[in-house]
Amino acid sequence: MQPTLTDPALEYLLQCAGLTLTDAEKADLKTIHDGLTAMKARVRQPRGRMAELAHSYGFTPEDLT
Amino acid sequence: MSIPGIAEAASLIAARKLSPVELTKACLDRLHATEATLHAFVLPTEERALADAKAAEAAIMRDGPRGPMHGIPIGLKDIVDTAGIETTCGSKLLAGNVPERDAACAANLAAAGTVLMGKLTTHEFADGGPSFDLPKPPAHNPWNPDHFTAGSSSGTGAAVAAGVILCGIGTDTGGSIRGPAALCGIAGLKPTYGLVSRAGVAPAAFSLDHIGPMAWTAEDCAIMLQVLAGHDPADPASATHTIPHYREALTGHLKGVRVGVIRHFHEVDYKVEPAVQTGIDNALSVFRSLGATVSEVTVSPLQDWHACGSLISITERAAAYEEWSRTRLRDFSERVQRRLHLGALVSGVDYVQAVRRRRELRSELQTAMRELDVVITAGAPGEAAKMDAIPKWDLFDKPNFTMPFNVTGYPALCVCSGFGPVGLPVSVQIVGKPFRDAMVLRVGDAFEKATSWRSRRPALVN
Repeated sequence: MQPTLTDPALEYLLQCAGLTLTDAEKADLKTIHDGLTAMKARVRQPRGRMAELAHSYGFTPEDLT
Repeated sequence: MSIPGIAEAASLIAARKLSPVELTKACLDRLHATEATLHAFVLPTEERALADAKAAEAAIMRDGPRGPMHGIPIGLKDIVDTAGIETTCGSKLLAGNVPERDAACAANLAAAGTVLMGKLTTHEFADGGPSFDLPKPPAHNPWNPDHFTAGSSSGTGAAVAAGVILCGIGTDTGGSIRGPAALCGIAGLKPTYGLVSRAGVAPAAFSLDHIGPMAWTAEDCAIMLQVLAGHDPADPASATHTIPHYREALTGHLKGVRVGVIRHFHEVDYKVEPAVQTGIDNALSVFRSLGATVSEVTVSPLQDWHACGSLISITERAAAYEEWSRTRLRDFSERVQRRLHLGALVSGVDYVQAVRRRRELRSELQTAMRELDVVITAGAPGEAAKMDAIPKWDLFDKPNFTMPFNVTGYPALCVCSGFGPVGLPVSVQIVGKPFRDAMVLRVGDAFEKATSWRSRRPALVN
């Protein structure tokens, strides 16, 4: 369970994102934190750390010359 | 005159029984009669339309039609670049922006001889919702203007349903073609990811973005897709798949077609309104009567697909608009500002977990469809809501039925499956395997031709 979004934590995240919000907007954003947390839980299925995506650079013949 | 679909208009134009100029003037008359109510256009291009129509007519009289789109009035969602025509993405941020080049889809439609009626209303940068703090008002539903069209291809849905244009371009990141198609009672295809070039179209979320046709019927979508599909090196996600003849695939029967229904999406995960359920049940009966077999399939809950797509969408949008978020945040509508705020709350790890989950979900659908040609579910949960009843945080309100197929990139079509108690359209969504867009269109076309839903137009234009 993700902890409640505290005011200092929200300030930090917004600062990192370069966003300047009003107090009303911050309060509004906090109202959806539980919904967002639930979404994040849904994409965290049990899987090993080796279960990464295939990644292909798609090298072309020009890359190899 | 009543406005025909593309197939009928093309046939009449080829037989020289309908003039592109006459058709365009009839569409312009409708535009003048409805625009003050519908707000489907951010910029009508009347002079361009008449010039295109006259040029098409002269060319057809001289050499015959170039193809079935020659002389057909169309519209382009205003996130599609148009050379010499203002393209604002519905935003103050791009006021006065006049691109030098057409987007690939606009160029392909122009090369097919279409008539450009104008730039169509969109949610700002194809995001947010119905906003009243933008340069232009949101589009209204022609079946009842007090109601929403869905979005973000809202103007395309409204203008096609009202017969102001015969077809138009929509874009779809989480359902922005299929939502307006469903609520405006038209056909809208989100093609397979990579089938239609996105070059010159403003991005929303790059790994979920699709460009596609919206028209009155599935057959008209097939005709339009023929012009749009194909490889374009200017779009890094563009596929090199061979393009079939989409209209030839429309056989009218479904003998041997294997249909799966993801019943738990619309009956358990998010129970749809009775009219939608009736529409789906009737569609299954029609499919059986046309020769298809029907079985039930089960995949992860709808909420999982919605969460996965939403997290990816939030992050990719925040990245695409990061610079303006930092420097011109207040120039966005309130709804889009709110969406951009979300980017601050989704971490890099959250994004990677969502992308990993997408791979699992894709694999799940691939397995579920191994012995099937299409699967169906709802396109929208019910009739269109009233304009003032759209929640400000709709992303967290309910999961949507369209996002699963942006997550997988599979082709998906919404067609009208009836009308609800308020008199507004409801829809069914038909989903195919990758690059089997022709099969999706075949099923949609067969359904439309076996039912009477295409005979009804909004009273506003009757």
